[in-house]
Amino acid sequence: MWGFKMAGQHLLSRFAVLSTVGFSLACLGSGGSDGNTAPNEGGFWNNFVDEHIVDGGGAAGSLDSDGDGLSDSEEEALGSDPNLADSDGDGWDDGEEVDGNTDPTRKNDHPYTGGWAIGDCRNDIEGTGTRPGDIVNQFELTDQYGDTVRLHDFCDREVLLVGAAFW
Amino acid sequence: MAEAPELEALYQRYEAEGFIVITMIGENLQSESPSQADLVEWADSLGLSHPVVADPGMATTFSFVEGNSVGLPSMTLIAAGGEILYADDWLGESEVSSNLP
Repeated sequence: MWGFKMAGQHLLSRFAVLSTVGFSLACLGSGGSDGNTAPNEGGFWNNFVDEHIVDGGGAAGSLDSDGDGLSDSEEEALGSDPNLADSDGDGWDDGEEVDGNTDPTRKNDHPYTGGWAIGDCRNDIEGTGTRPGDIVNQFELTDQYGDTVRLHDFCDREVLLVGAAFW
Repeated sequence: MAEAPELEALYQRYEAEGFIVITMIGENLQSESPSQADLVEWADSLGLSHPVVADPGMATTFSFVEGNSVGLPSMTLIAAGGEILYADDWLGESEVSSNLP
């Protein structure tokens, strides 16, 4: 009897240890018994979900399905295609367009081939005329690369317009 | 245009401080609206790195001048934010440098 009791106690002890280990593993996966642990404190699985599945809207936790530098949620807000790197087919990836202050959903609006930066105030200028003292009216003319140059794209710079002819 | 190299030099000198030149070509040698090839030839032959645009009939150039005639090259200086500062036959480096953003 004594021997059996001792054996039983031993078995019970080993079960308790195994149960404790299993509970610990569960805690690692669930982020704690109350589920309210912050992601960085929630262990491997919480971090994995945040990084690879959950679209949290921030750079560290957002999915970019097409690898164009914009998260899927950002693309949805912009109206561009989260599964297509160049939504408007103009040769510029959506992320490049946003960085360059152009619209990734409009084919004729993209960074300049000539490399000239576009001001983020481009849509804030309201022209009033073409005389000194006026706020200059917008114009659109084609450049040497075939791009459409919009004067207000250079809203953040001093601009010298030069009228000339070949002759 | 003999002044083109000087204007390009002005652009390169002040580009980093927020300055850009836009050359508007109204006519080619045949007195026609310039093609893209004409613009490329103009920019390449003069070594221009700033925008060179076609201005058919010089409509945009004329919009900045009074009357029906204009001396070429014509120049219009616009401040950052869009205010037109000067519209004159020739503007020098002093006007450019004193109006940088």
